[in-house]
Amino acid sequence: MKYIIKDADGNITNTIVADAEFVEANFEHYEEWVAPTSPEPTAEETARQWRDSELAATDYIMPLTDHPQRDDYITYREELRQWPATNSFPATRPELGE
Amino acid sequence: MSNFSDFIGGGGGLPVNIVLGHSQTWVPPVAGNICIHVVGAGGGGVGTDGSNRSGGGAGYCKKNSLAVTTSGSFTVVVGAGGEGGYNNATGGTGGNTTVAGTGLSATLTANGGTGATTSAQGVGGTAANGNVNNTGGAGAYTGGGAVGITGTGNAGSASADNDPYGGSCDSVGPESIIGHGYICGGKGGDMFYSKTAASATYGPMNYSPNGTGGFLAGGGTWYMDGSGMGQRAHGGHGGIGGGGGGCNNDAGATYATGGNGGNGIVIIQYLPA
Repeated sequence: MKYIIKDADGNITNTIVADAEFVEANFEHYEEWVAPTSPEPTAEETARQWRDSELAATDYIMPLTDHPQRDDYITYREELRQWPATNSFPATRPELGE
Repeated sequence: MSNFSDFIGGGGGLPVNIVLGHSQTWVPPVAGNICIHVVGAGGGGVGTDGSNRSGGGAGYCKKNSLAVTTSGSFTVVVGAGGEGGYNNATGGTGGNTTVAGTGLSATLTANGGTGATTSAQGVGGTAANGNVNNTGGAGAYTGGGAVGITGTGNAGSASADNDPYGGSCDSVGPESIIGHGYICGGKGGDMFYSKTAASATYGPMNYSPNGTGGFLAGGGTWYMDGSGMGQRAHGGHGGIGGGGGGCNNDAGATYATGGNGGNGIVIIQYLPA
């Protein structure tokens, strides 16, 4: 556990690693430290992560010149790369054509 | 078990290290002479969109020798590492580690390093009342400052061109040689440099780096070059007593978080009779 130690005026004097029993026995003014909450990913971040995962998942197809949908995937991957610069980002995801 | 020979099993050759990683009242388990190593906590790095700013390393205080008995008692307070700053928030200052008790005329004190700001690197913590009192290394472009065992702690380098690591401990060695009044640390964490194009000029290009510093060493920074990447980045955490690495993300400060400073520690070693 992490505790913030204060003086009588409420000024922080130290931040320590301790259990509650030790702090209660040795300090008069203290409070338990609370970790700041991590901000939730934004829609743009979530979209970029999905885009990156799609590119990574389809990367193996590019060297396969006889893959039946290779041309579709080339187009799809290009759309994925351009997507963040378009008006449809992040709301509308590119889709693989038939 | 009433004396030192019993405590170490009668062989007499092995050092006895007692590691105290959190605050407590410590009572010597046997009588003997001890060496006390006191390490403060490292400061946190800062996350920005304009600079690599890292936390300072902690101070180091050492009491060479103190005679103790099982009736003695020591109050050990261990400082907590400073939190890395997110979105331009200043990194937290590391806590101070202290030891007071029977036979000590003054409190052994190793202060924490300060956190980095958007305009300044963290400063190393000071120390007082030991036979050895060393100031920690300052934060730097490549990473957090280290704890200094033989002198002032090392900072990372001011440029990544030659040495892309956080500050390394000035006493680097295998764990096996620790003992009998001496401790060793590790190497600073890697600095990471990510670039939009796959042409990073230095440092590993890695989207999930582990720039954590070794024992008593600073964490490495992470510079994400290229606003189009839009990925979150995080400076490496400091090892015990080490400063946290800063993070500079061109995508914006909201994508950047500094590394945490390492917690403090107290190591007590029973010395040969």
